[in-house]
Amino acid sequence: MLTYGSLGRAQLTLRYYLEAVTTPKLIETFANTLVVTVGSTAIASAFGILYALVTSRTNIPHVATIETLMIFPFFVSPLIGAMAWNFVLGPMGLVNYLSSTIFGLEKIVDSYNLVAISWVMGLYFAPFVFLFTSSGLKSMNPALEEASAMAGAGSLRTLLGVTLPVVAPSVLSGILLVFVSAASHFSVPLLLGRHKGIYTITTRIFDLMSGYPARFELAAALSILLLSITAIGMYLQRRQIRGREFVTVTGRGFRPRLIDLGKWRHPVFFLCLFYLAIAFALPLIMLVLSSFTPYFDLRNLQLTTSNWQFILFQHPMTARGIKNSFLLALLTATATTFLALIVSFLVVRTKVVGRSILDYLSMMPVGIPITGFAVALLYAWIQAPIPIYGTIWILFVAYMTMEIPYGMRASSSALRQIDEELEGASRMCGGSWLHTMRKIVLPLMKPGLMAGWVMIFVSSVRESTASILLQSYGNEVFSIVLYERWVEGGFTECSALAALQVIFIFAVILISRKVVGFEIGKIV
Amino acid sequence: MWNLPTVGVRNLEKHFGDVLAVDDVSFEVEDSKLVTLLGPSGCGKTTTLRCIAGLEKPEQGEVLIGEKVVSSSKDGVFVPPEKRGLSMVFQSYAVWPHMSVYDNISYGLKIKKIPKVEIDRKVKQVLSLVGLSGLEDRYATKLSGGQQQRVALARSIVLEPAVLLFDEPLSNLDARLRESMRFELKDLMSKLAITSVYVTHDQSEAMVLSDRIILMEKGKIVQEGTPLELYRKPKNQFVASFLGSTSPNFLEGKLLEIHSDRSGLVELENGAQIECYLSGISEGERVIVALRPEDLKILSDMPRSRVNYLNGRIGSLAYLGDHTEYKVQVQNNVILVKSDSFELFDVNEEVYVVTEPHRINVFRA
Repeated sequence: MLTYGSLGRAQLTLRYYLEAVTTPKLIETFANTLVVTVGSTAIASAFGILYALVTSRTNIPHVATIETLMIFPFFVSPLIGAMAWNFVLGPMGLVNYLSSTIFGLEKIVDSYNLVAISWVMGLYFAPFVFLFTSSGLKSMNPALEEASAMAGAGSLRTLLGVTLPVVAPSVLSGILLVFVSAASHFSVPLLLGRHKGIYTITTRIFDLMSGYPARFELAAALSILLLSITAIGMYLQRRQIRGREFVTVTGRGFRPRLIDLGKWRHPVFFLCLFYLAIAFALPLIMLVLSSFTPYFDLRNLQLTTSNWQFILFQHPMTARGIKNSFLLALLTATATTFLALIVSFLVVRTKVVGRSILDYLSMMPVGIPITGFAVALLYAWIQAPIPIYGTIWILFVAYMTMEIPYGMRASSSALRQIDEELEGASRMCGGSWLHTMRKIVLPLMKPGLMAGWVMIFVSSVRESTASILLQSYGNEVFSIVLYERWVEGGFTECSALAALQVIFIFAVILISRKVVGFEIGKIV
Repeated sequence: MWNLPTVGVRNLEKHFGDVLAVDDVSFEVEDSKLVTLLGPSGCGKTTTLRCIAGLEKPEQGEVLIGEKVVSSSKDGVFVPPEKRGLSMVFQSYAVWPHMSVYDNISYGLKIKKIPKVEIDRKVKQVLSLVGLSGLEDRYATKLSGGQQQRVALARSIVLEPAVLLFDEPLSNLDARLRESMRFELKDLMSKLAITSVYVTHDQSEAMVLSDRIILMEKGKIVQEGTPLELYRKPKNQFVASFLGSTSPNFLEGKLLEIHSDRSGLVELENGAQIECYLSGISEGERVIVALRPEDLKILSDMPRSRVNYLNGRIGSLAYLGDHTEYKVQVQNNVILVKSDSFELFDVNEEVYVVTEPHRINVFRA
């Protein structure tokens, strides 16, 4: 559908592709995309790899805490991340305030440029590289490193000569995943670039779609170009992890030799905390602070609760946004988990014809940029007879498509961990297939399914890209409420809304940790 | 309790992809006997068992439990596993980790809708039978491997099945525990007298437990008989090397003469002459002579008889306490001898390896 549109519908033509690659404005767009993609991938990789090495190969204290904190940025919507960083790096932000009051330097940084965009995206993506690298490090047989030590190699030599090359495939696949996600990322460049005329492919697509007249054909051509970039990336990524996607962690606790940091133990620990404070806590603190100011100015700080009063009691869209987001997330998580359960059962436990295609299809959305997907969805449903366009259901379809890979991963890894003999034993005890599913399989899958459900629920609540592209009046989800407030210039009210979402998401995670033992990072 | 049915398997066939896992297998299990399907991994024994259980659907052939056909390719009959009245003990124990010992054992009884009082009584009884009394409320994950195996066994026998199936139930236990469980299981099975089909790749387990052994290779039955028959009268080289704790010494030769009492004379390639009993081989044919290490004796003096000895030198030896293993170099062959003689021989000593005619097996080469 997207391809068809990009070729000019009925009269097949390559005109729009030609326009896409020749217009100077669009060439600049491509260059910008390349810069933020490479930049944010580099930032994410540097922090992610470093932290994975420090947490899984040195004896720093409180490893579990650091590991958990490291994943936190993932749960904050990048839309909110961009807003928060604006209060740190922006013209009125903390850095400029400090530099001018202490050194008398005016405006040393700005949040509206490619560097800031790359920085914010890089911090958001760092947990991905971290998770891929540390899972590689943790599943690595420590005998490999011990053998190197026995051969006389020192810690650093072992690290560079053995450890890193062995985990290279998982590191690389993490980096590729980030590269693909960064190339198709939307909300950060939308907030920090668009109104200063700094465009990436995704924001350009958004402009083309939302402008009047909507230039659908060109948007589709750009989407296809973007898709081909990400498809190559995903192909490479899948090659890296081929055959190892579902490596079950054995019960054997690997106990790798840890590098003794000696007297540097605590300094390194505090350095880790410092990074997390800068990358994660500081922008959120500024966000919360700004939500209590009438207008954000650190030189003349006045405190008020009027923003909170406004969004909680006066702004009619708040309640609507909360309700829509909550219901949509509930529905998406439940429906996706259910669908994933059925599909994964067919894929893992039966010999149904076409099950490998099913498996492949369910994993495909990972490689499709949400922006392009939203364009296709819009185009498909505008023409479709089912009246889904302009309703909240178009978002439901988009969310579900985006989340099905995660649901599948959670469900099929839960199913793969159940020995088939446990089911056989139930059948041999006189239990029918249905009885076996109900009493044996589902109870054993429950923790995995619940974790997947929470994950999908949280991702749906903080989703912004598809929400912004597919929004329609009256069906605003919370991210839209946020975004519109920002566009209208109500920055500090927006902060209160953003803080509300962050609080809600962390409450969900904390509660689910208590209730179902959901472990952060198990499923991401 | 005494009219338990038999198992009948007829012309069973099952493919996995292009691999013929079970190839025209037929056998029967008599009432309250334990029959073992023995063979190396991939020989089709587990698949055969799973076809009996109903966990696999065979492409060809029939399975009978008592008089009842539970699986027939011809008539399109396939009774699901839960309706066959069988029980199975799995290799991985398959004890459900989210249930207590009591819940595991009572699972099948609850499905049968047996009254609670009766269930309690049966669970108690079976737990004392397998030596786990008092562990009802323990979770399966808190049990040792041996205890889990007992739970799995209790869960199966509490249902009083028509036939009990075992899929390598002891192979996940460590060596010492496995050996003691072997005898415990044998006692229990003779007490219960349940018709059983037992799958294992461990020949000594099969020897201890079975009334009859069915030896399989590459999806086919090679030989079936009592443990003694298989050990003493193996049909071919494969059977001879699979049964017994070590493989026999195989030596090539030619059958010189055969007499009416089935005794014959074989000349080995190294020139030695062997007197033995054989059938179905004609004079002049090339043969393989199997000499079990445990049937051989070492002497330092030349025996008086002209036949049934091999002259060589001790190549190496290993003293193992209850016996000594010698590798004797006889011209181009190395002959393994397990000797329990008190007298020890030195490396390079010239010796004579002797055996008795009725302990020798001869196969067509």
